[in-house]
Amino acid sequence: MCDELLKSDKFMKKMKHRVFKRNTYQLLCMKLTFFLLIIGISVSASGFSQKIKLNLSVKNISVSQFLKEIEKQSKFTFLYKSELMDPNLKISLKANNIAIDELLNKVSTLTNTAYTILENNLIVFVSNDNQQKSPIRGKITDSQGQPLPGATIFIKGSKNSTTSDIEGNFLLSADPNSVLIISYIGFVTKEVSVNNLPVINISLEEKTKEINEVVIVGYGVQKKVSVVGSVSSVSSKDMLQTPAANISNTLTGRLPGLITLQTSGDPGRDAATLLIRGKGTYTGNTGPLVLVDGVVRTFNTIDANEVENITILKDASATAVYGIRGANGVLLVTTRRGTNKKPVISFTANTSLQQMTKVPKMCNSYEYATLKNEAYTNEGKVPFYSQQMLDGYKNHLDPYLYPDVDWYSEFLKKNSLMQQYNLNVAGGSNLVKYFVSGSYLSQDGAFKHTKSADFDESINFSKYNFRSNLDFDFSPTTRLSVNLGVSNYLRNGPYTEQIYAGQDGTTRIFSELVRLPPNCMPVVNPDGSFSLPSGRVDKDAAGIAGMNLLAELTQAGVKREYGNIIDGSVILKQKLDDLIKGLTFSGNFSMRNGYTQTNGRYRPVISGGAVNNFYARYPITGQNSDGTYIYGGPGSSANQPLINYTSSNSLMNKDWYFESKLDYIGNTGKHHYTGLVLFNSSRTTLLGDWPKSYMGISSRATYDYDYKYLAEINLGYNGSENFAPGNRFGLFPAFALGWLVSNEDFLKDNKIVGLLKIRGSYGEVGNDQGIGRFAFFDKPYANSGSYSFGLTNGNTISGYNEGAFGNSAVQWEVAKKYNLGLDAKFFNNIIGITADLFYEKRDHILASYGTVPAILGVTSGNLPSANLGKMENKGYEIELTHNNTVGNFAYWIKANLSFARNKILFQDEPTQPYPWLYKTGNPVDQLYGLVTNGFFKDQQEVDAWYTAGYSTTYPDKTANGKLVPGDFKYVDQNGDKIINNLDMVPIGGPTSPEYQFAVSFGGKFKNLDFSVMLQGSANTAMFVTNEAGWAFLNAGGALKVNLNRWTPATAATATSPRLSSSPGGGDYNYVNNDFWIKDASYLRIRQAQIGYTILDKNFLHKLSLQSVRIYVDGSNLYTFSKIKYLDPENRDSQARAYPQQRVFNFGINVTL
Amino acid sequence: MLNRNIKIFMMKNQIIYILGAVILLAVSCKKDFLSPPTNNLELTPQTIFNDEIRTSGFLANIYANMYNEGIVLNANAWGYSTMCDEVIDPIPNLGQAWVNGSMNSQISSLEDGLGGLYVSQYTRIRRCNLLLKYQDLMTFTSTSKTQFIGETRFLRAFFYFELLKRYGGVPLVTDATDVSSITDISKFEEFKTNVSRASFKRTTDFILADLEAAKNALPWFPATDNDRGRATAAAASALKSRLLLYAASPLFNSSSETDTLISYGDYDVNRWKLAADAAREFFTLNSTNGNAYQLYNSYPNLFTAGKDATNHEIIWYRQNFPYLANVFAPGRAGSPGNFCFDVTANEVDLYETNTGKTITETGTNYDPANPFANRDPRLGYNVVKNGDVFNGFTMQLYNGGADYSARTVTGVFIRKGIPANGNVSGQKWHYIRLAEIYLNLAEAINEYQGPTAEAYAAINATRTRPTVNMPVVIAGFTADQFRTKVQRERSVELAFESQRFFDLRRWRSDDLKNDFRGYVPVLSGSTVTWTNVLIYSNFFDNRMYLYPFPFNETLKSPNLKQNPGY
Repeated sequence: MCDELLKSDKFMKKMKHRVFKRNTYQLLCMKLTFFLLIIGISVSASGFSQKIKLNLSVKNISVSQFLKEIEKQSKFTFLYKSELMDPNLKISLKANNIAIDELLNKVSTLTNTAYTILENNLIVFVSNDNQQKSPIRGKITDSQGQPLPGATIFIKGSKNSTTSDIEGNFLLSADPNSVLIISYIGFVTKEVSVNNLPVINISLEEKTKEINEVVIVGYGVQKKVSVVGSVSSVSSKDMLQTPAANISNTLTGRLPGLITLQTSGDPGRDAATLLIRGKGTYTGNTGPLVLVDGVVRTFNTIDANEVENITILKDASATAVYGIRGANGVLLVTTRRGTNKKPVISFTANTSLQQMTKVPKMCNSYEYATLKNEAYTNEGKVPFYSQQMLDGYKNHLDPYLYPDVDWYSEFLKKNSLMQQYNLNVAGGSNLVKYFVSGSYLSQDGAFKHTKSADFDESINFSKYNFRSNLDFDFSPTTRLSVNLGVSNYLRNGPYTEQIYAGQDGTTRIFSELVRLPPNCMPVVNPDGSFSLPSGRVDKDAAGIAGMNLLAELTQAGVKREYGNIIDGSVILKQKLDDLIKGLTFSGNFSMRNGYTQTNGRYRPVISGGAVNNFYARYPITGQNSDGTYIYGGPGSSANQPLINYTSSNSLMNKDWYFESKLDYIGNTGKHHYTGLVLFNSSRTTLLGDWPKSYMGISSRATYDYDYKYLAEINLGYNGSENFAPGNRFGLFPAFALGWLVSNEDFLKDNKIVGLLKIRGSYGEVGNDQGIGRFAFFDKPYANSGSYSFGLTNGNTISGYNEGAFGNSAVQWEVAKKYNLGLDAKFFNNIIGITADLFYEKRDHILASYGTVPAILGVTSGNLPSANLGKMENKGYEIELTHNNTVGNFAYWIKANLSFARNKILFQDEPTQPYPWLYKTGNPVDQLYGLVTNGFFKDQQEVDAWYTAGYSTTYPDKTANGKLVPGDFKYVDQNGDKIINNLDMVPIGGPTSPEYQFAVSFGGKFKNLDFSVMLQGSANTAMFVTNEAGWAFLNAGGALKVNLNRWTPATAATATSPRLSSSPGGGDYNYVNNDFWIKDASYLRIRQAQIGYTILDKNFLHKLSLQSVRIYVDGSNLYTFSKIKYLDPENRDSQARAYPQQRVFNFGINVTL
Repeated sequence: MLNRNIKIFMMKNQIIYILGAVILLAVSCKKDFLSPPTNNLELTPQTIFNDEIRTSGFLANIYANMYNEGIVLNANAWGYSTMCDEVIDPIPNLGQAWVNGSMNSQISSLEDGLGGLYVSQYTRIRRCNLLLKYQDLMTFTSTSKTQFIGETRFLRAFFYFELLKRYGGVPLVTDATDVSSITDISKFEEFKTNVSRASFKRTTDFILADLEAAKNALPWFPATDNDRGRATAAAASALKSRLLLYAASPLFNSSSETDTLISYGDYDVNRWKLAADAAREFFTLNSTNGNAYQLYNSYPNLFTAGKDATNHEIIWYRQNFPYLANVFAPGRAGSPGNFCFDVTANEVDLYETNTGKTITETGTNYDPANPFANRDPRLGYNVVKNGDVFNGFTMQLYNGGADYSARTVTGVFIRKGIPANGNVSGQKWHYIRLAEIYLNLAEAINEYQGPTAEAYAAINATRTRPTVNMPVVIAGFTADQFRTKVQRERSVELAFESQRFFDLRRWRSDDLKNDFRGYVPVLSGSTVTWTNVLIYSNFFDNRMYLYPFPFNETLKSPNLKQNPGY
């Protein structure tokens, strides 16, 4: 017992502070030491001295004292010159059954001596100067950095060896060019070259066949060996290799089966859309159910440093316990917790430069004016710009009369700064374990020229995160956990809603950047006033773009969004082994309070006036003979000095979650079984809304025989408020079987196959989303538009109208999911494969009717929902891993490929005259358009087309309404000689990618480590229309790509149609077609990192640090895609989304 | 012994935990946990239609959702003008589909953008049907009930007439179908199959019946100024006049058209008599009601002064509907209008000279070099052109002028309804005004019995309005000559009021085939001369007499017969 106590040095210290007075402690120590020396050293009676084993525990004693102790407790006598034993050399050791020669090796290494055992147990030490050996120190840890006491360190090719002490430290005398072999039970044996290094720290990898390794599954953990569902997970260590502000963007490429799409890089609004195995339904929510530490929550506000692991559950077997909400897959976030060890304080600092991955390149003024004249000519109109104007632009005669502004570079910074800091402490004792973390993120946006006297409209996002996870072990059977997670953020940005109602600042400004023609105005006038487009330069722009972007950015106002989320959980876990061995009860009560508010300070629009009337702007209409400029009238009356204040969009939610659970784990011989029964209920209350509630029961039973034959049943029985009583609750069962072939006797001693598992599952899961709340009953009559009667419209009568209709029969969607999986490891586990094949059929999809005749008179929003749709979704995931150590170089390679293709099997769609018009039979996100077949090359060809009886229903906006050369030739799919919507066919892949893949690799060589990830998507398409593709839309600018337009001279090589002066979505050349639908596949260097870990113990010791790692990394470093000028994930056809960020980051991590 | 006691104690403890869990479970399993909110004040048909104020609110909501007839094509007033030869949209828009032949059933904006109405109109009709369905619940004051039902029947007739003039015969829905029936698949299929069009005659008769009922139930003129804007017997009578005029017109009343869905299938001159009688009835009733409706003296102010209590010309109108100043706002007074509609030469040429002769007749004072001089004063009231003073500026609409923009196609824009000061508040959209009834009468009498004195009196009523003062039409015309005269008078008097688009069609007018021309001011030296230029060539096909039913609706309902040619 005392032995046990002594093992824990920390325990002693604690005792010292807590219980015993100093002298008592000393007394106790003395007693214990005595006790130990009496009973601790037992000498084997064997006559063979080398085999003699001793039990020994000493602390900080000199070598000669140490030898005396051995003498005292054994028959040995030592002979040596006293100068050989330096009195400053101290020894600490605690070992049971340690061989005497091991003890002697220790002494000889330490003192640089050699020994010989003579007869009569006489041992002689002599000087060892003639041998080229040097002392090598080091520490043996596991992959988590935990010390491994008692690991054996051999010198390759010699019999010399030692073992690590309680702190994992070892000391050994060896040739500086020798190789060490380190072995430890349960860990992979490792060889390390000394390479003249005095200090070698070695971490050992656990053998992955480790029977106790667990994975996270729904409502619990399961031994990895017995998991039969389809599950993938990623640790925060991997996630942190990608520098990104939002945690969702660190998942890209990490989890096979997870499809990510990041459509914006706007600070604070850059979360990726996540899909597990693509889309299974065509209405409502297609994203996974997200749980943080077992409670349904959003996770985008969490800091990645707080996370231990993120796991996705893919097949029905894994998600059935979530029943009515499990059909779209489940994403589980597990946050970090403390362990029973001394505190480890970790501090990380990151400083990043962010750049836009891609922004459109625009035509300059000369190009713009030339193209515009060409567009006018194409339509039979007189060109707008005179030769004098063209020359003015070409030669940049005057920056005010002939402006040439590159709006993007004028208003966007090249680099913006991001900083992230995290400080966390993890540790604990037998009584309390803790993990406490605090993070700060500050992310700057891209806008320049944001500061004015009254506001700073720059985009700036800052976020504080705090988390504290505490576990109190009141007794060996009782644990109380208290989790607290807090996130607080502030986003600053331009307030432009005054200018464009409802259009957010970022969107507004990006939309202006792409729309403003380069020549429409200078940014400011020579007299410093805000400029305004003048008709002299471009009357079109004057019509639409009647604002000054600089004025908008600096004068309109500022908007600040405040957000605050507090998550708290109290979990009580009680082992009930006394009742039934292996039974555990736990209860979880969790709450969340969320609050967001938007505050704006802005200049008001003058009542009844035109928009953006709060700052004066003056167009330059010409130049006087003396060189001064002539100003036109003000574009608005005056500056509005008043600053209005608005506070809006307050969103408050209060959620709670309750769960009680019984867990059972047991075995009888080779039969292993587990069980789970769980009840939960939850309620989400949004301010001003009726609370949303769920409740249900989940259960699971698993069985395996000798870790060979695995079986599992999962059941979810739960209900959703969306359905009528009687239709509310559903039972969702799933079954899975597995066979661990590698545990069969015929493979057990196989050298090639380390692991081979085959697993299959079938189950049903539900989805209650896709319809409005309480869709089962008719909504009552409600207030609706009023009408003002009377001569002066003064007699207003408030109106009433019929409400929406319900359908009492509605129920959840049912997803029937099949999964077949394989896990294998080969060649001593250096190669691993996980492959999954899945098929899902979704039935009873909640949708509204699509074929209700208009004469019913009920608007589509008021029609009842019904379980109408059917869909299928199928695909596969493959993950290959390889890791190995060659000499000092440890490396790993991972590759994964996910594929998911869905198909609508039924939706309420009218009978179409041609098969290609059906949505049914195609993927959910399919795009449709006309098929182009080159351009009309000359007037003859156009005339011939008309003569042959062809026509089109799309207007072409030419002088006589007829097509002209340079227009697209379209394929007449139905042969009716009319080019119209009936000729539109499915084009390209769906908008959400069908393939997503990643190859990542990394390695470690001495102090250096690195990792790289290449990631991509394929089989996906997007519209490159409107501002993202068309010149002069809404009197806007022209993209550089528009220079590839058709002209008579370039008829043979042109890639885009002839120019139109005012393109519109329904126009002949601009109607949806296969030219404007572009392949959005891409390949990115998603992430790359190089790190340097300081191993110099002395250096670290001086600074009282355990480890220091500095690293440089980046994300989205380069993107290969067919669309060169837009980010391929940025799916905004108006090119007004904030592009994704390329991040260059420098970081340092310090542990103490 | 001690150990055993501890064990028992611990077991007890555990049992307490489990009991606790079970109790928690039971507490949380409350039956109503997933229940929706209960609302004691729930509004049902019973509580709506039992209550006079709520019923009047339900009715007000029908008014509130009336179609803004002038608003088609991106919410611009005068939209129907761009769909015929009155104006040109400088940014060729959807309206061009009606003039370049690309109008078809699949145009996605057929419904809202082009005023096809088919889909939205049935939601209005459903509301009328709901009110009529629940009339037995109206146990309040019977005079109110009569009033509500009368107004509703008028509104339903008005809604159906708007469909009739676009499509011909349409499906007649007279009851608010119970929506729960569509969740029953077999009933739903039956419902879809049963969607079919009533004949033109049946549709017309149905509208007529509603109008007669409304006319008998409602007062001739609103009882108080606070009731202005409500449907009246006069509105019912005026709409009846228009309905029967349309029904008698060549598009629907012709021996060459036998399809009874889109016409009567034959010609009957008595239909013109019915049209004439309906107009006469209006005037008879008006005089028995003290001539409550009278022509308003000022033609230009008729449209801009919406709150003038002395304006008794408007018979049926949409409240609070601005004519939208940005249809034309010159460059110098702010940003140019986004929707500057350019008036065509076709429109300008319709106006007579101030001698009462057309510009092509001999012996007029028409000056081709200055086509705007010496013309019917209504030309000046209806358009603004280069050289006119507008909002304090003398318009420079020639290429290079201060008010010229890329949107200037001709040098002429709409002025009607647009106050120079931009204040459009309180304006009303005129669905029917008294001037039209005079012209309905003149046209119908001429077709039935030739130009009688009654016909001359009717056509001259609008010409002799104080601000117009055109020479009266003097007897001596043949029926054909008078027809041309009355059609021209109608197009001038009712210019830009969503009339010509439909009139040209019901007349089967040759003007539908005219190319679009415009007067363009050209500055040479210091003088501006007007040039008549071709803007774009026209295209007309017989299918364009009527609207196409939305393609999707014909797919949903196999028995909904599409109009010919689409």
